[in-house]
Amino acid sequence: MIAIIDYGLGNLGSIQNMIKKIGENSKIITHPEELSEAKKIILSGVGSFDTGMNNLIKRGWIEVLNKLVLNDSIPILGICLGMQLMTQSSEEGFQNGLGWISANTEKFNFDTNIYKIPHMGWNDVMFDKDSKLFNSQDFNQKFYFVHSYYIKKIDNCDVTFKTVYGEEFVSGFEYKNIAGVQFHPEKSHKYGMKLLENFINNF
Amino acid sequence: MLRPRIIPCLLINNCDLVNTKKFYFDKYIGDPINTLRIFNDKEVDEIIFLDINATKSKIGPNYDLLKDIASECFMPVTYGGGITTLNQIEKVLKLGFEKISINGRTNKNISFLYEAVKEFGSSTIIASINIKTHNRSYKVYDYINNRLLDDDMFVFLNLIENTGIGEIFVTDVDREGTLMGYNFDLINKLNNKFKIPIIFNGGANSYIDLKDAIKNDISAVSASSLFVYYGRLNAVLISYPSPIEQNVILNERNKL
Repeated sequence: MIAIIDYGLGNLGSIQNMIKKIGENSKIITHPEELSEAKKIILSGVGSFDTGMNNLIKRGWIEVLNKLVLNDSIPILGICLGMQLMTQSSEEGFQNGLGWISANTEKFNFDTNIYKIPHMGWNDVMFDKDSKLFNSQDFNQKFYFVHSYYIKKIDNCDVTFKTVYGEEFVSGFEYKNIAGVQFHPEKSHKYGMKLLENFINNF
Repeated sequence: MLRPRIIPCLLINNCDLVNTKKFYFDKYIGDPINTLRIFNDKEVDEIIFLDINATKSKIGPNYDLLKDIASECFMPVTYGGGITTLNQIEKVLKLGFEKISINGRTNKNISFLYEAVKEFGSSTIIASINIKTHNRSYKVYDYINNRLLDDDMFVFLNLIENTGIGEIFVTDVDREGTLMGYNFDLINKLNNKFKIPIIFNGGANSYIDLKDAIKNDISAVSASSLFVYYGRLNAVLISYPSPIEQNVILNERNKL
């Protein structure tokens, strides 16, 4: 079973819709204790960093997630805020992040009106080598982004994906059993569907 | 490269997909779900659904229809129409919509926009603004009470931007549904004035129109008739630029 964590933030229905289209079963999980049966975990979310962390703390997710992800190596995919929560901290708030990857979340800051904030729309994702999520055969891919905060650089990852908006930033990563994407695969047509399928089958 | 978005705006009346001309009913188009499936196959950037009756009739969103729509949408989708409470927004988002469009037409709406942004975040809330030409100037049009706001368009749009909303969906009422071509005077006036994305809608008559609008600072272009009508007699046929046509349309903006 693929567990989609409901911690009170974000549009989980659309992730479930797409996984259903792929032909897999998923379940939206509201209580941490139900997570033990999960073979794969998706941590999505739209909202602010502190609200996200506070909800995870308040609802008792932190301990369970740390155990499953760090000790039991259950694959997890962070989407949008879900990926940012995996970093150490964010300029958006004061809370510490989950701290699973050595990166921080920063705010987009441009001197010109050309680059609107949020970075919203379809953009390219570049990768240096084939990985579990991306395959060079899937060319001409594009993905839907909506975000005002971003990860500038990331240390010690197996693979990082890059996107350019004003400057190059990290639009995704893979590190052991942990993966994150800044864009929304659940809203990125067949390209996103392929990525979710790759997460389900290859991770 | 961030691609400016090309967005079909689809109008719902009861459970039908319809088209309007200058905000008056023009034609029945078809079933919303079937139409959506066609747009899905064409890999549209994004879709906006507006229920043109939900505010006027005070019945609010048709959740059953919206649930069916959301389950077929593998692209970002916005809903607008009859939204007056935060609870309604939450319900529509839960169904699988990303964004909610709220019509900005009076000062009362502005305070609701503030509340909605505070609760659901900037990127979730779009302000929809209708513009009409009046004595050679542009005025904000309140379609419910069929009147123009006294305020200058820019004063009002700045108030709207300051609520923290994520985007402004501007519809040119005088050209809406007419296929007359975009009003480039209005587009030029809006160009480079805002920090947030502007989606421009109303009157597009060709892909060249879309291309010319995108040359400006407009972040997204929207159209209804252009994507649902075909030919001299406006036969109903769903269309959308192919990837090659999109590249031509977006070419001018490769600088981003």
